Amino acid sequence: MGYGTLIPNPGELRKKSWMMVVRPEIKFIFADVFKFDGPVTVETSREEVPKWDSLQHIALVTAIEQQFGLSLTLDEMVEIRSVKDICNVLDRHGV
Amino acid sequence: MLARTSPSLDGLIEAVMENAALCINERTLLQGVDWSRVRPDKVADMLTRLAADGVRAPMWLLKSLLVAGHSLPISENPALDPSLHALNSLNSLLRRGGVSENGMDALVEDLIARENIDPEIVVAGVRQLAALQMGSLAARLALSHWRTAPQILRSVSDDVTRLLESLPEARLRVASFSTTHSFIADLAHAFAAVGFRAAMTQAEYGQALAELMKPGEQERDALLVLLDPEGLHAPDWRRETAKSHELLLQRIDLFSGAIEHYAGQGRGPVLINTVPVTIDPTMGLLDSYHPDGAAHGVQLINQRLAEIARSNNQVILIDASRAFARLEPRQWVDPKLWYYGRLPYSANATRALAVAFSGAYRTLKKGTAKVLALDMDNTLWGGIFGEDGVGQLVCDDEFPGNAFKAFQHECLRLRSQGMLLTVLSKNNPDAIDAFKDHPGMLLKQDDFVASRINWEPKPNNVRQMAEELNLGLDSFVFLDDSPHERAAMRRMCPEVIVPEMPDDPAARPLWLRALAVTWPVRLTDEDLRRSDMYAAERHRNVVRERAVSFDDYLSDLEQTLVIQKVGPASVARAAQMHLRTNQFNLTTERYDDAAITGMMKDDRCVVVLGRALDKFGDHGLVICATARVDGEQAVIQSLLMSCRVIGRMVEQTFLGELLRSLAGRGARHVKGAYIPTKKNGLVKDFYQGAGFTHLGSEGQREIWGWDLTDGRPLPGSNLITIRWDTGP
Repeated sequence: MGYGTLIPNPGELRKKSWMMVVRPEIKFIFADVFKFDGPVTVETSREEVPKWDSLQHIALVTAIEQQFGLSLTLDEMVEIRSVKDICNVLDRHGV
Repeated sequence: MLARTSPSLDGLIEAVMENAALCINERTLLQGVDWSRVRPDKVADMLTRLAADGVRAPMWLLKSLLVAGHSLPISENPALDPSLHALNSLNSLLRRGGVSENGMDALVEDLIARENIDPEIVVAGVRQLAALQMGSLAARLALSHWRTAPQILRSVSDDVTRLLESLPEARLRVASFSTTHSFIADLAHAFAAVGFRAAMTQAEYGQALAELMKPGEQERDALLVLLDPEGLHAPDWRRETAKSHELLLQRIDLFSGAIEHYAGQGRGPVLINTVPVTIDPTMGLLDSYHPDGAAHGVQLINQRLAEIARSNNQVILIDASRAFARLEPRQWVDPKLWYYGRLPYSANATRALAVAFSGAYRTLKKGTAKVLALDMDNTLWGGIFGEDGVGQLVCDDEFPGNAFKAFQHECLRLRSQGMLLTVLSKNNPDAIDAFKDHPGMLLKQDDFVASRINWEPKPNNVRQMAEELNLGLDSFVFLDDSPHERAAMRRMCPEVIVPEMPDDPAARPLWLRALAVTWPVRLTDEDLRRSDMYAAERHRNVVRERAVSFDDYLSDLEQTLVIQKVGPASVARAAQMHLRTNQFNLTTERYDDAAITGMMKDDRCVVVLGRALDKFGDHGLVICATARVDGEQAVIQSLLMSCRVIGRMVEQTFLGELLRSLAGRGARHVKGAYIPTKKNGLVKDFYQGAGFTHLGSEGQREIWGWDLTDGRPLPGSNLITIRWDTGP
């Protein structure tokens, strides 16, 4: 999803290039919020992170909002189930 | 041109730097450079070139350089503000490598004391300290500005953990009408910032009233109650205004009675926040005085809380609106978090409240500061006594003298509240005469309990005064307009509280009001006597006058439990509860729609649901159980409840009715199991508490039994009205 799929080359390239590399901020957030010390990749999802329950999900969303200075909607909050989803949401917000 | 021959990013940046003077004049490009990727020698070259061209490097450029970790030659800009100056020192220390932690302490103290510091500077400072292996200073700096820059804690979380281990413990019990998860996480940081390691236990979800009435066993240094707008005031628009208003008043009575009940139990102080004034009206322009107005409801609640706090020094009120002063009112609540998880306040607001609670706790434990040590020149008056002469000193009713006069006025206010005033000035001793000879001075020589007016270093003087007054240095607040004097005091007498007084005299009077170390937190005996007088005149209503017990509380709730067998209309709800409930769930059987429907059609199975109501409203279908009867044996297969109504005997009453219904099916012996999961520790002792007998364990499973033949009274409370809904 995200607008990236609609945009020809430059945007697509940009998106791909950083989608493969998870930003360090996200890794920090996972370490802090979930005390997660496994590898954080684009594919990391809710099922693999033991502490990612509905309460810690709130902490995750709040941390993302603080870190990137944005405000997510209820839908986005529900949509986020993996690192890829986070990247998509950030992409949509243009950060 | 360079860009064409060398298309790399570094080449582009170099081209921009080579044309720095042009970029500065046009205010373009240079702002976009990521200075952390530029080598220090290149930065030095650029600054040298700028100096040679006679272009002064603008402050925004210097700031971005410093934040990126570069160090500037001291001569570069004497006008660097003190926080940038401190960051510069950190950066150059890191470049040179190797430094003693001692010299760093005072620099970092300056950064810590600076309340309105740019978060970017804090982030950079924390990063540099961490790189210098000064973890504990990094953690202290990060914690001190955590309210405005929460994300920095993430980079030093190990250092924070280590710092926490060295702090004294504060045992906190936290209760609320809503979700306290984020609040608890924030409290840990807020308490660490004021020097405590918070060890917290939570009351059951939403059970503030029950916790006040029947506090858990947990030892606590304080009970913290997070109050939110909907906890007490959830109007039902089908009710008439008068009835609705009456209910709100009753609810406030119940809550305030519960607070007084708790405060009388000797369990220590209870800290409660007021409800922030709501800006979204339910009665439009009439909102603040119409009985249906949201703002009116909030006023009533807060007014009552204030009355309780005024007559009871175990009740500490935290003013939410003041805590939120730095936030826009629309940022107080994050609706998405409310609907997602019943979080009553936004992340920023929750943090602000945690800071306010921790500040009050700190003052409770460490006390309010006792002495103001005041500088004279350009602090108590404008101008310099020794140079300008007493006649030229500025302190009167005209600008700017009125700002100094107002500052003296605030000093007098603190004096009237028990603060001792002292003067601490580098002057000839005759400067004290200014208070007598200058007509504008509000303060007089007699107002000061001690003075040191000489040319000795101020830290030495303050030590002498501490001895003279027989007080610890940590009782002193030092107010001085000179950053050098403040820095010297921090370095030589780290115990003395040295706030960063604003440079602008006009900002100081209100700043002094906001200075939390001067805030009284608790009523004095005299205050209490005074409030007894108010209390005698005050009309007290019936609920509050009588002693309130847990049973009174239950009967005041006027609860009704309506029990129904599952039917086509309630299958979905029963399945949903089975799938979602984690905490109050004895067996965590995840029965879905199909399974519940199957049981509904099976004669041997019993599936019952309970709807809880009280005088404040309908909680809906909140409890559910499934059981299976084989001849005289019955087994409770699942029993689960929403935490909304926990602790009010609903669960026991429901269990009693379930037993009654199983008896009606011919059962004589009932078994139930507790199967532990990570989340259901809450109900570990549920069967025991209800009077069941322990029959044994099967692996993790604890089996409990009830013998229906011995005629014991079934579990439950006679204060709950029970109704069986036989349905259509």
